[in-house]
Amino acid sequence: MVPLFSFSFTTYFNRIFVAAKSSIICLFLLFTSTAFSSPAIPTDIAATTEKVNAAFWLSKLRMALTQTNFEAGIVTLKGEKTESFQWVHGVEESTGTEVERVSPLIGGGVMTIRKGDTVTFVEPNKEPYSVKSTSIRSFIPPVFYKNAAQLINSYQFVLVSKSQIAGRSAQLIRIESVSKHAYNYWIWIDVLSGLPLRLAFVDEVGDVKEQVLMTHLTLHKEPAPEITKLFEFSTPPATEALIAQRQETNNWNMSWLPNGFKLIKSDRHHVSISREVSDYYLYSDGLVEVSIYVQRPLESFNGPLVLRDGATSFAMVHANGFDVTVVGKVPEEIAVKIASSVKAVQQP
Amino acid sequence: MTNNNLESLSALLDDEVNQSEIEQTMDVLGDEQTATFGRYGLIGDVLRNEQQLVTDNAFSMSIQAAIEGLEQDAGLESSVASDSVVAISTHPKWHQRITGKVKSFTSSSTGKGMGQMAIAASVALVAVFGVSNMAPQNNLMPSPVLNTTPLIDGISPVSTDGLKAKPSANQVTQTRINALMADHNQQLRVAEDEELDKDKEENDN
Repeated sequence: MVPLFSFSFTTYFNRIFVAAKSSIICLFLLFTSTAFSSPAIPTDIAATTEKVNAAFWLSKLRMALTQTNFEAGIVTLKGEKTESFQWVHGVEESTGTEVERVSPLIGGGVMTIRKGDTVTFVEPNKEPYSVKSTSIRSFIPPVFYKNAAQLINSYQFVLVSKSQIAGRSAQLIRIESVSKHAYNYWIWIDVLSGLPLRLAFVDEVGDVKEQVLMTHLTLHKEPAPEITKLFEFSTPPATEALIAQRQETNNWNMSWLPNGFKLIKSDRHHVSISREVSDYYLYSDGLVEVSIYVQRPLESFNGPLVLRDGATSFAMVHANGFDVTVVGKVPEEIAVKIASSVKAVQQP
Repeated sequence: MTNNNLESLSALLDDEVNQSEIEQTMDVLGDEQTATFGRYGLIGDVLRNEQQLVTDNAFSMSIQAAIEGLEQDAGLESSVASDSVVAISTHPKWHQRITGKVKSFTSSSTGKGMGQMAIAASVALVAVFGVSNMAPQNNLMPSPVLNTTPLIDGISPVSTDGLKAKPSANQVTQTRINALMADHNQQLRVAEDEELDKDKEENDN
């Protein structure tokens, strides 16, 4: 038997040589990998040499979200509740279609599958249905799949220092509400892959209201076999019938809205569970959405009611002859202010 | 052997003497005083629980020899273990036995002289093993009887009428809250659909 720890000069030098050789191989791999990934993210090399800004990171994030083959574990922390998901994303090679799936680790929840711009919701004991959308809204606001620069009117972008998340180097970008009417959104982007490692709604004093954490991340060169299977899996087509016909109501006037919020849609529909009729307005500032419901008054309800679940606020106020409810990811006081501002339009 | 000598020995053990007194005591130390000094030390050790067993084999052996002799004299079978003093003490009724033996021994004509010593020895034994046996006895304490009586006497009946009552004001509100939260999430799912339509319209125009 040759002793394990022999210190003869020949073996000693051999080892140094081997170590040197392996480090050269490592360097070579590094160079080749950079070379391979550069076509996908053209400014990758610039990232390491030049001073980069938030826009660079956000475009890198968008590229990564839509072009990378990855598999990730996700944990969402919302108030006292914790939920965990598996998230698979890939690009089907023959057609170049984006395929992704978000499924709860603990069964019973909603599984979401996206193929290109069709998102299918699969729920237990329910018919699966599809809608048109270019993103799964589970964790990441859809704006990050588009051009985040459209937030510039209501938010300012602050590039903060790098930190470690799940053992990976992450660049923090703070998207801060200029008017302080909305929560700040902090996003930690993986320096290597460009994928989000942590996302958080943070209030004015810096308390995290709700956050999404990536617990593990595996990147693949090729799409996972699962992606091909999902691509072949038949999903119902997106149907127009699901969406209430646009019947814009002009009965109500919002006398106050936070800075940057614009009307996305308005209609009158039956609220899904209670079947109560409601006049409905959906506003968005690009990052978060706010729903406004105007309904007949509840006999038993008088005072204002304010609830909060993570970053989502729920404010119901009783006005003269109607109840107004505001739901959305805005601070409670803002939700109450919006609800209180709703006035009946004087019919001529 | 005078009281004075013993006093100085005792003081020596208690570390209450100065250098000159130590020397003075050492000078007058005879064989008997040395033995006394040893015994004092032993007593101290036992009291401070620093000594688990009597290590003076000669002392215990002499007692054992005496007892063995007695058993043979009385024609009884030798049930007392003869290995060590500890073995004697492990016998369930060891002290009654010894007392019995010692009494019969003292009443016999041959061992009157030895009798007194045996009594003293048995007292010492009781003292020594009384101390050293205290801890083991704690371990052998019988475990308390498991309490099988339930803490709560029984499940008291409750009325289920409340479940049949009309939904309260809070329940109505609660239903609305749940419905609106669910509807909000539902609306968000199709929100982008609307936006896409809008974008398309804008592009078309």
